[in-house]
Amino acid sequence: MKRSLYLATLLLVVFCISAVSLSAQDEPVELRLWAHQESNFNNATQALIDAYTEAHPNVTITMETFVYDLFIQTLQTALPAGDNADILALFGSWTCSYADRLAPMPEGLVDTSTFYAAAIGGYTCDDQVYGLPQEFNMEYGTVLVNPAMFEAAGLTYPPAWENYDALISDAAALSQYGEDGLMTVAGYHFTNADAIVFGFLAGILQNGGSYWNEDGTAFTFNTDAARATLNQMMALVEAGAIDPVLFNDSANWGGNAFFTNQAAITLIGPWAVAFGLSDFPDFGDFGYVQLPSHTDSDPFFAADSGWGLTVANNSPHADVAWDFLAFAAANADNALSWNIGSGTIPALSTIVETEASNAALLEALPWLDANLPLLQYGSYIGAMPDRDLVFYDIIYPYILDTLQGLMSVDDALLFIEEDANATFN
Amino acid sequence: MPDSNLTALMLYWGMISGFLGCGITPLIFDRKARNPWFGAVIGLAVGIISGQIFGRLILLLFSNAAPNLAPWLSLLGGLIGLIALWVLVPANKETRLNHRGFVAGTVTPMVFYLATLSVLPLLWAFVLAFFDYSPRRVGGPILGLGGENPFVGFEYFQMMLEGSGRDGRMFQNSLVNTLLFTALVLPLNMLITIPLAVMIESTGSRFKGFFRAVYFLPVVTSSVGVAIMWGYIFNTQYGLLNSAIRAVGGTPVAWLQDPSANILGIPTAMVAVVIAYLWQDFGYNLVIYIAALQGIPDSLKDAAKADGASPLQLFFYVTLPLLRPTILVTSVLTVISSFQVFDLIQVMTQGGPGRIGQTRVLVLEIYENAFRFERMGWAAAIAVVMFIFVAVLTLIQTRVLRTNWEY
Repeated sequence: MKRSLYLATLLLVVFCISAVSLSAQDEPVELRLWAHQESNFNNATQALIDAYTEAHPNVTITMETFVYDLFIQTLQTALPAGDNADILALFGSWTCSYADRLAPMPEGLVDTSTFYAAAIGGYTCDDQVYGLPQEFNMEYGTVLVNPAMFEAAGLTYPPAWENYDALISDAAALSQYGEDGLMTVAGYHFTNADAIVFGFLAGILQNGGSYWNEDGTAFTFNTDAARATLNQMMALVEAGAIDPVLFNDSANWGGNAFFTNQAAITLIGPWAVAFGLSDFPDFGDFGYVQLPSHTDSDPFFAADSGWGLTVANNSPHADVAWDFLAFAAANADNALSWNIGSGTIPALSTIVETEASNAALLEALPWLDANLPLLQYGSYIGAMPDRDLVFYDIIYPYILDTLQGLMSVDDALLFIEEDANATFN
Repeated sequence: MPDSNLTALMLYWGMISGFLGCGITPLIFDRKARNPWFGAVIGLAVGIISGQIFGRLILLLFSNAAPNLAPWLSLLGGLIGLIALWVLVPANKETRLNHRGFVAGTVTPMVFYLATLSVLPLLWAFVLAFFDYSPRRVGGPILGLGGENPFVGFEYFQMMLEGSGRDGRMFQNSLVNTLLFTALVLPLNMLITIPLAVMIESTGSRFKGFFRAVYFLPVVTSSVGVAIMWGYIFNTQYGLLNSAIRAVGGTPVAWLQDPSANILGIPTAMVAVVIAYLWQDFGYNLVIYIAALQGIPDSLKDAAKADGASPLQLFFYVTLPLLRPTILVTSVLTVISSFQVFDLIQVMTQGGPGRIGQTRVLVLEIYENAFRFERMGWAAAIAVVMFIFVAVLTLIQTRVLRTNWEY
């Protein structure tokens, strides 16, 4: 009897204290935000959190960051388990694959037409918006250039290539070789995975084609426009602009190659400028200029939806979380401060189109001068069933093999289309 | 307390308290002349339940007063229920049992941990292999299976068998690469380690320890560090190997990058990762062989010498046959570890070069599909096939190398 009483009393005490404690926690709003670790991004986000919580004293937002790979794995395990944070900083092009676990934007909360189509595209799934972009992710259209190498080769600097042939000519003149015949400096490094994929997609668009069928349900890579693009890439290799065996995503990656004087021109997004300034502070002068179009057309390009914010559908305070998203991503002043802090291109078109904010942006990030005029030509890559698989395990390896002379252009296009379409199954 | 931290703590409460419960309770039951195996089960249940109840209680009580200490203190919550159990269970004066408390108290916690951390994930992998499961999608109500994570039956295994589609081709390529890697590593490892062990064993006792330590050092070196070091050696432009080739007037080779470069039809990238792997791994088998050699009775060798056996005859007709049980163990271990190679290849080649991935092995294929492309079902199916392959190879090795005698 005494034992039973002892146990019963203990259990009663436990549940009473739990109940009192839980009811006391109901009032304040506590949100958690998950993001991958990138100091500039994280600091810019923390500044927005501080501003929001100052204006809303009952709200606490705690940011938890993860190393990139761990972030992906944490999302994979925490989302099914329901242990995720309220706000998730996702890459836009991933968003639709997580849409089942995200809360849609409350109707009328934000006018999404103020964002560039390429930036908001990834956050829109079946006409429903599941997050707000903070950056315009631009991997194609501009290149890093090394003025000293241009001068040494007797070429005009800054380059103003009139057409693609002019680029090929300069690139070939900039390449250097060692005594053993191996390429030591790539004239034009365009064989990173992202550079190959986005260059391929941009080339298709600039050659007047499309890599989607009419209703957007299948890929069309085996086309004349794709063939013309791949042949233009081959022309660069054949002219000696790069040795794709020695320079690619796994060996002499473009960012490192450029800032270690192993590449004179490198096709890479503007984020690489911040990377270079922080990791290679003694590098010296470099420029960031526009690429010519593959043809006479405007410089169309395809872009991912970049990093932005989403709200988990199991968040008990999804309304407050969405309010924070609107504050952080749709308010032009806040969005501008985040872009300046993180060194990224704005997702909000109003920032670029408004003279004062445009000037403020270029004052802080002058190299974006080459990018901003091109944003109007960007379109979202489209709703791919598995973007990473299509990009990095299908398009990139097939094209790299083609550039390395291991397969023909026709075979590569055939296989890319076949394998990419298989990802719809 | 964030939800994720609470979930982690709940796991700790269950595991730690369960471990203590099934580890200590059998000893106490044994002292009280009660069945220790029954005590292990009761201790496990009480530990887990009281860990959850009192762990949470301690956390709530101390979370304001000592927020940093509270999670640590809560780990002791299970002891409250367990101590009550240990004190309140009366001694049994009527039965006399064999005192197996120690056995129950050591075996049960290990079984508990093995079941929760190895067997359950293994079973989960077997289940996943029959579903098109991705953690991105919300599936059915039971463990997320069904619904948008549909049942696919044997479809994945059929694709692997037929090599159909990109997935089937990639699987077959990675299987061939794994088998090639293992086929190169196993004999080369044996060819290096057995003679080397015999040579070390024949040196003076002062040097044995030195050689053992030197050859074992790579085993305890980080695989990533080893991969980076060998990556530098095989670097096309600045690598040590190509510098040597240049010095003698040869043409440098893009060892890790050129998909068309090969030695006797084997891609140079595969040769490079095999060399790096052997360098890191052979010390492990070497130490085992040295220990085995020390266990061979001198009388057998002396008898052979007395019969006029030369050193080579002694090696091939006495030492090697007596090493067969050890060769069995090391070859099984080497095959298993070769099948599991990942980190070296991930750092040195990332599975490349070439679109089909000349060094893309099974574990890399599993990793890419599971954690990069989040195709857990397909990755689990590959893992199941890999498990079966290792099991069958181990069985074959056991049959071929078994002996019916002892010395």
